Amino acid sequence: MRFAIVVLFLCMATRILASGADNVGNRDHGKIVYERYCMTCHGERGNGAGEFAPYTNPKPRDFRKGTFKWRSTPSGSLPLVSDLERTIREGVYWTAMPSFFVLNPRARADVIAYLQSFSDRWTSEQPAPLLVIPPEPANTSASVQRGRDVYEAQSCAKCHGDQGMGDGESSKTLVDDWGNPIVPFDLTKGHMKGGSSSEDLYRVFMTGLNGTPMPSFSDTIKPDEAWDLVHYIQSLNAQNRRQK
Amino acid sequence: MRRPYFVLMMTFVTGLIAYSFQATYPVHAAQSPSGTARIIAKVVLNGKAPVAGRLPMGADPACLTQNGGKAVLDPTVEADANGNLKDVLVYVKDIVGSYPAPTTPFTLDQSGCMYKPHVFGVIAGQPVEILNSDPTLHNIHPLPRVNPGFNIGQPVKGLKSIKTFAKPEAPFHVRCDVHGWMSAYIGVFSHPFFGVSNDTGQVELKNLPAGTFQIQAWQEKYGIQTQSVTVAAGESKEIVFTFKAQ
Repeated sequence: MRFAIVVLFLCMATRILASGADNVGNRDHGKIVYERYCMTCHGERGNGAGEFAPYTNPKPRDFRKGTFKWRSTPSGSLPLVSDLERTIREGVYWTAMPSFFVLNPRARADVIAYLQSFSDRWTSEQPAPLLVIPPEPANTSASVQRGRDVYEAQSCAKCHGDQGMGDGESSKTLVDDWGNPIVPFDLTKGHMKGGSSSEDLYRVFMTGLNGTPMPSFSDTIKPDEAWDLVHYIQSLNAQNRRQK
Repeated sequence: MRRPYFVLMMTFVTGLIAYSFQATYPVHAAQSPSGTARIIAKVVLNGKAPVAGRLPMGADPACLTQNGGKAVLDPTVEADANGNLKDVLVYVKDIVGSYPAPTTPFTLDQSGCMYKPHVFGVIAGQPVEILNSDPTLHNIHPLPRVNPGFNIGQPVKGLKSIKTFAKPEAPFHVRCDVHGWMSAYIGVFSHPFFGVSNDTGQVELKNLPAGTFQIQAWQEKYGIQTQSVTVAAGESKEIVFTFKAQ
């Protein structure tokens, strides 16, 4: 009997892993949460065209394409449930997306289950490999200087500008995947949209931001270079404060 | 007694796990395109082609240098003096059978801050090698509607990325956000019966089986035209698609 239970558990676990379903929220409950807190911006049908959408910039995300900016997965892939949970919990700084920290974790899991119903990608696609973030080395002036070299070698300035202020030569022509004008982030502003921890920054340029012009540089930036770039970007804010 | 019981149960467990990973897609025997019919399509533009604008290569000095300072024109509508229309994707709309995807990659080059070729087709599952031949940053950003998209930065000359589009899909846009004028279109097919019109507006669809097919011609500005064409084994049939200039 014990063996049969183990077998059953193994099969269920294998099925869950194979389908990428790392979410266990209740979709019916999630609909209630969604209609109360999310629908006014993201729309009843999850199309990003809610009542308040015209007054927001950037526009609320259209969930029907299964395209999400902040992920731990490669460019173009679905995010992990934990990525969505982080965005809902922390909000998106500088935008109309607030933090839903006050919602209990159960409600956040439920609403994630519901927003997954807007795109069939969640049932048809296999899970993508998770970005592995190595431990952060010391943030030294040498690392910052090397990070500046990475910033130049990867041509980050084309969009973000030489001083990281979002005023690069390509900045005026950018649009998102829905054709809405979009500007590169001003890296001197301090708070980052997708979180300001070192890991949050590392994740952004190694996975890209789906639905935006920000690509993934995981093919060209090595992990130690990525940490140097994180330290350089963090220094832009400190430099800015000193100059003021 | 315990050992045979253990072996039996492990076999059962392995079988169950294998079943849980089993693909749910139907399996068809792959076919090679060995028919003897062919269709030669001619694509023409009726009327005067719009004046092609000069692309703003000066936005990136590296792009200007790569083109020797010469003007590069918008490739959206390319027709010669006789109206022969280039870069029109012509294909069989639907065909029964399963055709293997080539393992040889199709190369999409980023050269002179332009995509080369500008329009092309691949078979679903065929590798697409994306090459940066320019000493400047390009980001390759396809916008498919069926297949998952991606957006990859290629900051160094000589970089290559290999990607595949697993499902057939109507032509979709590819753009470089860094150089807003860079534009390409990819059609993904379940079969090899497609082609892109050349400088003289011609496309050859060869090795077709005998039958009646819906042939479509897709042009990025003028849309899609469809013709029903019947070909017998060994027959070669010529058809013409005419797009009206706007």
